[in-house]
Amino acid sequence: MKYLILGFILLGCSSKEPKEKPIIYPEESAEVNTTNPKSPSIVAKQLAAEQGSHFVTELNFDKGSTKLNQDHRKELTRLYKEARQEQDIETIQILSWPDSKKSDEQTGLADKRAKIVKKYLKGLDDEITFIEINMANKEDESDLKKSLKIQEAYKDKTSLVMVIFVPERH
Amino acid sequence: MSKSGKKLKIFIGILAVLAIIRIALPSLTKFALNEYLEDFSPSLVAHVSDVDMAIIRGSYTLEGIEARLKKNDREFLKIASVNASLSWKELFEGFLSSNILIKNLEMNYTQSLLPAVKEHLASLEEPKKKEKSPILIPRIDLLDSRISTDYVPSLTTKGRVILSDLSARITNVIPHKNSQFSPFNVKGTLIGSGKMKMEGEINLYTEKPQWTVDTEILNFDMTTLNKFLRKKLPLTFTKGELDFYAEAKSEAGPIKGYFKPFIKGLDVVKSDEDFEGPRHWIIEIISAIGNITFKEDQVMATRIPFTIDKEFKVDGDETIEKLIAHGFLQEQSRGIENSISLKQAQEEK
Repeated sequence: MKYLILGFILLGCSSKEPKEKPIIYPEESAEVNTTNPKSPSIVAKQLAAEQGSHFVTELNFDKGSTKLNQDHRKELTRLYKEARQEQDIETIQILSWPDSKKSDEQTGLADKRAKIVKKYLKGLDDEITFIEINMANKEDESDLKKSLKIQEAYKDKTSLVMVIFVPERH
Repeated sequence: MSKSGKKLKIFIGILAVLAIIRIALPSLTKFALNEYLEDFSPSLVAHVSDVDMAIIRGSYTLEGIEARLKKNDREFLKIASVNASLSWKELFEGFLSSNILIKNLEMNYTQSLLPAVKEHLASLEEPKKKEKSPILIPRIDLLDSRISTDYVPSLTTKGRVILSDLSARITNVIPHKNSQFSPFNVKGTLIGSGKMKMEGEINLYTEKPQWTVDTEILNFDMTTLNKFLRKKLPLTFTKGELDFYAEAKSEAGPIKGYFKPFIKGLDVVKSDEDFEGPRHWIIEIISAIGNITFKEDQVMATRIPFTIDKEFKVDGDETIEKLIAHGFLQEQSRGIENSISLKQAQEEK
């Protein structure tokens, strides 16, 4: 059978363009190329799992935008309800990425994105502690940032806000 | 002597004792650790060259680790350094939490390694699954490492290396009831040619581990396989590049998944080896057609579903259907489909 399959592989050739265009990640990224990107990504899952959580989401923003759209709100509400149903939440960590390389303007953009997400989540529950981590801010040396730097898993991410609900245990 | 002078002497004495303990601690730890590693397993033995401690920072490093098989004294593992960090904050909260960073690991897979590891694992007591563990290993990182083997010499580069530039991370290593999954990723260079990435999740909390894994190998030079293939098939690749994607899972049973090979600019020539009967008939036919030289930009691709349950099985009907579709109708999309997930599988149950 394996030789038959090998033969057919050699015949399975087409010059037609594929229907689904895959997302091609850079070589240094931890993500595998895919036609159907996972949400959350492996990096987000790992960062949450380090803290004993599996309640994590990634919100993609349009370039230059700090607007929290309807899909973002729905996703944050869904995750908050799911997390609260299972465990008491102690902190919510908000990691925000700018659109491009670090600059004062980009640091501000990442900061505004984190603030808008925090404001929405505070509306859902104002008793939880929030930790904001600006990935464009060189002075911010939080443990999460250090963790991302070990495998250089933060470099290819842009226009993104990662939200992790950390359970009470920690 | 005045009272204050006596107090100062006591204080200096205590400081001196603490300093001596601090100075002696790494050597004492190294001695105790090596005593333990000498006899921790019926089949394996290990040794540490140096121990560094930064107690206030909560950082402990083992350097120059070597592990050997007891049976034949063959070295199978060398690690330049293993650093364990200790979180004081979590220690005060009642947990022992430590992140581990392993640098420059060199593993040599030999035929006698697997039986030795099995013997070692059989000697261990089954750990009790706890709802909450007082010990946490949030993450283990592996950097600048490599795996070599003398098991398949025709599939390795110089120095018997099969996987180089290896880096990996696994998180939530000691799972508990509320956080069962351990997400992981691996990156490396396969046989000095293809860039390999793997990402997935494993549930170590369940009685039998469940896992899912996505794999990608890009720009793999097909001519690298010639030395290996020469012994199996009467074919030689003169050029060709392989991109390979696979997705698989196991829920404590058979492994199910699919793989998608993409071969670009392939040029295959029939070797002078003897025809070895029916096993080589398809190769003979393909070679005879003389149609296996493709243009630089021409790509062959398909999707092959498989099951591994004691032996590797391909879903032949679906494969042929996909081959015809991809060969004549639409090219296969590159990348994994994310159609296999552990969570989804649990919901289906």
